Amino acid sequence: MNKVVTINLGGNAYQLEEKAYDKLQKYLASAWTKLADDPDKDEILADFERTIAEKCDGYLKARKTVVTEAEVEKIIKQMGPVEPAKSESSEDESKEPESQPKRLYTLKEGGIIGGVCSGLAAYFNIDVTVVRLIFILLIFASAGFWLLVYVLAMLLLPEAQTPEQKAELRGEKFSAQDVLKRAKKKYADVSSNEHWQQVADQTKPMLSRGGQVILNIFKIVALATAIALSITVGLLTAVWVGSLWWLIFAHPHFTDQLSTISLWTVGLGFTAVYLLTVLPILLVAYVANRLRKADEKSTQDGRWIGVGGALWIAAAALLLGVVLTVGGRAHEFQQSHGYINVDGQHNICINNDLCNDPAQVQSQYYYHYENGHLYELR
Amino acid sequence: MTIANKFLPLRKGLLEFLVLKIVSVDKVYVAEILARLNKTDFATGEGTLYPLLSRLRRENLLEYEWVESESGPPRKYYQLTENGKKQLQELESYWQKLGATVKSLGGPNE
Repeated sequence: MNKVVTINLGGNAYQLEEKAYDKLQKYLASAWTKLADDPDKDEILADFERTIAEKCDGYLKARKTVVTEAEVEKIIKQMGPVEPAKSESSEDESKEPESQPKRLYTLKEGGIIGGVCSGLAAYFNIDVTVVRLIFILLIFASAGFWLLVYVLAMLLLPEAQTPEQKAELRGEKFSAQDVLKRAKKKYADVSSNEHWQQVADQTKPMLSRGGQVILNIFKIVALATAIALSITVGLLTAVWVGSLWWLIFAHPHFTDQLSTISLWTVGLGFTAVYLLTVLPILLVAYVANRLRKADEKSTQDGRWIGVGGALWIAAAALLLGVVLTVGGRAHEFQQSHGYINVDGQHNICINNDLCNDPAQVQSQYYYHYENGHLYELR
Repeated sequence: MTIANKFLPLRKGLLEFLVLKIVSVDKVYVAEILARLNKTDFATGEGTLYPLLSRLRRENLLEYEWVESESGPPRKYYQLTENGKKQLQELESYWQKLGATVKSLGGPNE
């Protein structure tokens, strides 16, 4: 027992099985989307409805008043897929490149890290390599600030996933034709073994010979950068390890007001500074290396950058904690001892009562600071 | 890829020409056009034909009039306009030229 839906086709009532109605509904809805660009869309849809009505008539008799699902399937098959009539005449063509409002997305296909550059490249319709080059120059020129911009863009921009979004990114009008074209293209790509190679080829469309030379120079520069930065990281690591050894084995004594601070805190501070400098350098080196081999695709990129970013933020928090601790201890010392040690030799008195207390005296010289001059107290 | 598939774009492009040819003979409605096409390699459905006819009408190559039918809703009967007849002639002669080219190329009397 099936439910029956009554519909109006071209001015007459028809009774359809519920499932038949669903299928018909779907067909007409898809026709409507496919014909979105057709100025006579409404008329064509009315034509379709009349045709369906006529075909339904063929299935109905005095004792059979309901059109079945199978019959609707047959009708739809007969009518065939809806194909918009492409206009060959020039007057219609001039109307075609209607630009849509653009929207910025990240684009994973053709992207290396977060797809920010490839998204920008698609948005401005320029080669993605140019965008990457500009980005890297900006990162260096701004001492890393643009790296932050990149990460923010990666986190905040939505990713273009649907064909609609990709069309919107390029400012193209999204039509059924595009979907078909893309679907066919995608199918061809996937069915080929060199899928990724093809995708990579698509990302550098038609580089001229000059472009190829520039690309090669760029690759060499990227490699040199990656090597130089790796060496820097190695040196920084040596410095960091050396400083920790110095803390552990030399047990250095710090100036008076820092003498109450544990060596652990100092070690943590060193480590935080080390991570804060090394991680961005590593990221740049990594990106430079990936740019060199842009054809290869790694799915690990996002995860490593996520781990590095988290570590960097943790290091920043750690450094803040260490600085606050050191500052707090120094302040406490000043309050209880009455002087500030400037360089291990000279003390400036900020509280005469405490400075003159012999029990507190640890250094040789005491000064009183007034009007820009230091006055010796003893 | 079958032979028929290789000519798929060609057949699609020729559809307009053939529809104009069919309409030129007599006033026809869509089911008749389809019946004639479906006997050939150019079989298609209303889903393709209606958008095409509507475009041809927009380009002023053909026009239609409503005719009541005894069974079911009224039908659109199509016929060529003067423009359409002229266009059809041009298409015919161009098609003959194409045919001649296809025949002559690779033949002995080049």
